[in-house]
Amino acid sequence: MNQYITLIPEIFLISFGTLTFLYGVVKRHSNLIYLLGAINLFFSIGLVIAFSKEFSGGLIKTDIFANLFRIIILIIGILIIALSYEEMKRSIEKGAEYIYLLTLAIFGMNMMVLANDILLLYLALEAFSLPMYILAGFYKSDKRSVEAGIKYFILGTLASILLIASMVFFYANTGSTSYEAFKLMSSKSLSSYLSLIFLISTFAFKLSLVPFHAWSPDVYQGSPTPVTAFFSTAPKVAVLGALIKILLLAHHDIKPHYMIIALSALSMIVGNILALRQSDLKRLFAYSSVAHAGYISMALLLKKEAILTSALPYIIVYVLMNVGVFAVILSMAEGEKINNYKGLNKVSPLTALSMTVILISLTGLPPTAGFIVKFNLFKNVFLAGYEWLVLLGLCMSILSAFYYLRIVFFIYEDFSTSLATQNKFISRSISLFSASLLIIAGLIPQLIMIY
Amino acid sequence: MIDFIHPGLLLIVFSLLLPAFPKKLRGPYSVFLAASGFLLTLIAEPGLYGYINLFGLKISPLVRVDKLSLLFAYIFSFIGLIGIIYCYHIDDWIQQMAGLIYTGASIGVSFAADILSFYLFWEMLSFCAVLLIWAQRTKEATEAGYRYILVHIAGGLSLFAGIIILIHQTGSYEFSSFMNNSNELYWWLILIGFVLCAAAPPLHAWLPDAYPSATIYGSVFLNPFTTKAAVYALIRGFPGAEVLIYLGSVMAVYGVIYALLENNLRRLLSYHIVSQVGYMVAGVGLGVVTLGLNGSASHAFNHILYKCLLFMSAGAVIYTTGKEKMTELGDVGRFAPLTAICFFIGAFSIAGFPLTNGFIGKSPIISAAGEIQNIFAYIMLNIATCGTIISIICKMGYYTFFSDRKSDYSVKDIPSNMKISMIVTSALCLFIGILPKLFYQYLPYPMDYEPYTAQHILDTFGIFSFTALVFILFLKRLKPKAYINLDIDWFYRMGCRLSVKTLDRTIVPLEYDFINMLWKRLMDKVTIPLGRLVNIFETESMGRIPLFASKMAKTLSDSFSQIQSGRLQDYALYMIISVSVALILYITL
Amino acid sequence: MLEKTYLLVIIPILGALLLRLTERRNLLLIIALLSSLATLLFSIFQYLSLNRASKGFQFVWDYMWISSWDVNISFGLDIINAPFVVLSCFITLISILLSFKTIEKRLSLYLSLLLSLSATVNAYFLSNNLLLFFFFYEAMLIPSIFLIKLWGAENSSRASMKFMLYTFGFSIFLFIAIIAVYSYGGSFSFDKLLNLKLTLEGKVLIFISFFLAFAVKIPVVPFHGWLRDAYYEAPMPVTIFMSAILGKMGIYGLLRVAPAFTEVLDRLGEWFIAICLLSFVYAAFVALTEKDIKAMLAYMSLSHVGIITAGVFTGNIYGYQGSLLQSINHGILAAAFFYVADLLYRNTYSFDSDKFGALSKKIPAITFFSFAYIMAMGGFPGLNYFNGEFLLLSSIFSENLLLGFFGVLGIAVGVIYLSWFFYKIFLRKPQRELSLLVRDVQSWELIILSIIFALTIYLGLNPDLVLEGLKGIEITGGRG
Repeated sequence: MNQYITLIPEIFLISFGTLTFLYGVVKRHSNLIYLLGAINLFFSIGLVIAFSKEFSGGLIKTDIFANLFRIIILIIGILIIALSYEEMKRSIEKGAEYIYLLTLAIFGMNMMVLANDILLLYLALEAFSLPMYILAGFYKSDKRSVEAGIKYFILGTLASILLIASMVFFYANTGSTSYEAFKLMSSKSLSSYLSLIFLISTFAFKLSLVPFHAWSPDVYQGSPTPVTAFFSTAPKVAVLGALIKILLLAHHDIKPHYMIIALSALSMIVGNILALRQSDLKRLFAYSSVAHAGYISMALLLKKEAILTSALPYIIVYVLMNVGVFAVILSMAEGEKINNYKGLNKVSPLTALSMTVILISLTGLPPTAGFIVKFNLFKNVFLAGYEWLVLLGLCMSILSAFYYLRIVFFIYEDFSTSLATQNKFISRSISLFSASLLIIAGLIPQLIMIY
Repeated sequence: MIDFIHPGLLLIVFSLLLPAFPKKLRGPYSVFLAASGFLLTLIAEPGLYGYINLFGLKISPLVRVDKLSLLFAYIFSFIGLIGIIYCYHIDDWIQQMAGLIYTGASIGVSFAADILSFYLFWEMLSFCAVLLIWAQRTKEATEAGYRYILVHIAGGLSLFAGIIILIHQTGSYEFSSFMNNSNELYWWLILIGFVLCAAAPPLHAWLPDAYPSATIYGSVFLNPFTTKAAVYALIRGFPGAEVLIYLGSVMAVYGVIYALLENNLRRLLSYHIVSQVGYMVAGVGLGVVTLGLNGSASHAFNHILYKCLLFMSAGAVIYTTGKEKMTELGDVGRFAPLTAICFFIGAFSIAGFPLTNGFIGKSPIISAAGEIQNIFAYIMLNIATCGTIISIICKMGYYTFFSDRKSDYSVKDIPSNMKISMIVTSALCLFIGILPKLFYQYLPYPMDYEPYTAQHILDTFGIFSFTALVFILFLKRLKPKAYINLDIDWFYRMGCRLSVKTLDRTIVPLEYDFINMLWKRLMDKVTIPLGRLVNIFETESMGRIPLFASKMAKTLSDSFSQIQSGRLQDYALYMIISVSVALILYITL
Repeated sequence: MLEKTYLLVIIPILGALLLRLTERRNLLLIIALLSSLATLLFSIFQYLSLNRASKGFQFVWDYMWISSWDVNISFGLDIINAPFVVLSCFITLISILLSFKTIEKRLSLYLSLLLSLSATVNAYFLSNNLLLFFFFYEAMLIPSIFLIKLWGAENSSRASMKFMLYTFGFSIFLFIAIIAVYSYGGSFSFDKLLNLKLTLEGKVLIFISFFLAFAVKIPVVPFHGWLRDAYYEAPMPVTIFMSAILGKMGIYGLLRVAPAFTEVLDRLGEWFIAICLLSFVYAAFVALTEKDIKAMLAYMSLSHVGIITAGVFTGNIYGYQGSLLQSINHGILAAAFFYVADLLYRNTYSFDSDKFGALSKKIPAITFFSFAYIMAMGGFPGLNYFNGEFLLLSSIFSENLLLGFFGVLGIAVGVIYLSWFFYKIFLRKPQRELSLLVRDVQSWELIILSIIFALTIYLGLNPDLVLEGLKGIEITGGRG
């Protein structure tokens, strides 16, 4: 019974979501649906905080970190809804479907974070992936969006198959589907290797680690921009939450270290190098996400609590940065074309400043939060003995400076742009908000060192 | 340091205020300053003064006033005063200021007790000299100034290196005789530094290059200070170094040879300086007997007086007529009798005629050579005397003042301040010549020497008569020519007692073709091309590094983006391949 | 009051923020001047009250920052960083004053960035622990790239990108070094440097990392690729700031860490000195054939910091003192030279030395000061540069005679191109085209030049102002 108490926020989420969907179907052309969606999420946050007792049982397990992840995902949801409101209120008819899909996806992600059983993991994965496939292809008339949706769908299904494969071997090895069985896995048997490799492959797909990343540039570019923002943040949070949970339980020895190192290194290299030549910002940030995923996955090599202390602040800051960036892209007309940023400073200095701060944070320069979390991560990984990986990470960070700062240079160029920023108040405030949080966290790091 | 006001420092510091004065007051102010410097030097008491804390070390004393320093300080400050009076009327504060600082720095060199402050003042000498040379503001002068800088930097660096090594090895900052350590590296380095400033061949060409290129007032300042400060330094640091005897003797003859060939008034005198300084250097080398050191010091003192007098009169001639070369002068004596008289007093002094200070100054050195029985020095120094007589009294004096007028020049009257300075100096030359004992009191070592012995006087008259005879006989052949004529080698054979034809064959081409060219080549063929090479390397190679890196990144990026083919089947393939590879690797390893 | 060392960082930041509120030149002048003057006066005040005999940090201001890592924000002065702080404030003031003459557009943003750069640099010098050190080492990149890019000449994007990539790139090494110290020492404090429990090889590696990180900032050939473009494209006040201060950041870093690595210096010191002297001579030769004044001065700056850095590696106290003293001297003189170059640029808009000539009569004041600065830079005794050169040369000579002669060669070439510069601009006749346009310096700029000149003489006669108390540093390596 208790597990349902812990699940109250999710139950509420789904129920209220369904109700608002029905309302939205009935009352088309009402923009209230967005607000309702946001309220739904907002209340869910409250419920999470209210019912945040640690619990472990049945198929789920919560602890303070899982709750934290849930809250983060919900906050992301609110922000995305806010962004979507401005962007899509006039361009789509099916607002209700959109919001419902988002809600379903968030529900799935929460379940994934809560899951303590591999079956639930699979269900949650499907639960949030299917809405995401549809969301990717939401602009039916845009060829790119449809292509994105299909690609994501097919490749995502492939990834799900990998998870099933993992489940099979896991069950064969341990005889149980619960996470607790991870403790029992021994490092000698073939099946444990197989299961973990397949598991990590699935997660690598969702995290867009190389070489499982190939879907992300096309999908990010094709999807509607708020959806891209969602893709680049929330699934990663969910997946990382699950992965960290699993790795904390598993013995240190069975972790496929070399695989993680390879994934991480390749992602850092490919992500940064390919981003160099991009002129479409959505694609650029797709590669940037690949790179950052590479950085975060370095933390997975650490032991026990160290994973959390390194990865968690990074995840929080990463979410802030990405939401901020996409907020800026949304606040401009055709914000995905880099050339439109020329001379932005003259038109809207605040937006320019926010973008600059966010980009500096993405590069990892002080005095922003990006520096602090990167430093923290690299320090811990270095001290754990993976010096060469850190060195690679540092070199690639330098490479990243080039393409991030190129945008900054464009912004401050002395160019009279004819493109005015649109009256997108919400987007701009979100971007400003994220930029200020980044600076504050950069100056007072203690705020994000939560452990 | 209140017990002693350093006249050198006073001159240097207060002369910096010169440009702030209005034009009319600059002359009087500079004279006032120079006079105060002179007075302060006169009243300076012997002793050791001053200390300073530098880098945590205490250096003391800084100032040393003894007989040797005083002798040089007297003459430096006096001639500085004379020089300032000489250029009282000019409208160029740079020259006056440089002259004052030059004087002050020389006094500083004389009074320096520690090697560091000595070096400070020494370097100041070079800089003032360059300023004076450049004050002429012609192309020739600026280039000469450059060559001056080059040489003196080299010497300065050698000196500096020597000083550092000295301090490092001995740990003491005192500037006194180095003769106990004559085998050390620094001994040679410091010696080279001093000797270069004393214009010893082969490092002497800067002198006849630079001195005539300066203004006439500049020449008056330039000629006494640098070289005589070097002589002082040699007396102080290297008394009795045998190498100096030979060096000095060669210098004496060498300089005179070239003086004989010269046409330009001031260049003739400049080569002559080389010769006379050769005497002094030889005297230092002969310093195993105090007669040698005394002789050197006294010769320095007197030489300053009459050389300046000669430069002043040459300057007066140039001022009056506007011509510098003897081929364009002649018969000036008629228009400027005072100048002519002063010139000849100076000329006879330099030759060492009795009743002039040259006589009492030069003969101690020659006697010292005789005393230690160094035949080489004795003979060379006497030859040089002959050459001096011929070149200055005869050649320069005759062809400038008495011979037929050779070109059309206009005659200007010289200002009275120039006249005053020349007259005072001539008077002093005669005065010292007539009362030698008064002078000998000031020499550093007790002087038991009697110049006016019958022997000496007869010797001198002998030399004079002989050379006068030679001159009259070969008057026509000695006429100044505007170009160098190698056909006068027979002259050497006649006029001198040694065969200098070999010198002629070896040294003359050496001088003009090799040494001067060497410097030009060093700059044009070595330093500048090296600089250009490095510059090209810098722009091509170094500048290309970032470009190369970025090109590489771009190429990598473009090639990697091939993977992102856009085709679904490729993506799926990647995924499947990766999983398979991971599996295989894990299973097999 | 003296304890509030953070003021040296906060006042410029506050000034920077205030400056963004207005665009009027008068107000900007007042705010900027007040801010920089206040910082300068405070730093001088602290400097004079510094107790020269004590070895640790004084006037320390601590603030709990990241408790999880046991790192505080800690600013403090000691005898090594105090002269740099004063120099930094002084140069900031000069830069700001020059900016009012040189910068036309977006002055408010510019001054704001300049002051924040100054604050970052001050914080860098004042940092008491390695993490803060690294933080500000990276942080100064952002204001400087903006300053170069936005107010620079045509190639400013490339110049600022090069600067950014070189500095950011080599900061990896500083990161590695710091993390290594943390892992073997236990914390980020500077004291831990001295007690590293490491083998010699380990210490060598860490020292090389430090060296690489700082060598790119100074810079030392062959890591200097950013210098020519960055110095050239930046507006003159920024160039002054870069030449006088940013290079010293690297030297300061080396001064800080060198006492901990005396064994490394014993064995390998000569190699480092050789690299630095190579830089010295190399840059001197490049400067020799540069026709463009600003480029020549950039290479002159590069050249001189080479020999200054060499002093740190000699491992003896004279070299160390020489480096410290000469850094300050070089900062002052480099600022002076670039200022003079800017005065020539004012009405002519050209840095081509072939187009000037015969200016000594037209602009006597500038001539006089240029000559004075050239004398100083040439090592004329009695002026400040001589003292440093003396110390540096003696220490290098005592390490290795051959290297010493290299040093002397560099000095000789240095004098040549400086006098050539003087000759071409001021003495050579006849006047070339641009000479007609040049005007002499006036009023307050004359005062600035005179102040620098007076400082040159004062520091020349009284080097203990900077050096007093330094003998206490324990440097026992080398042969000195």
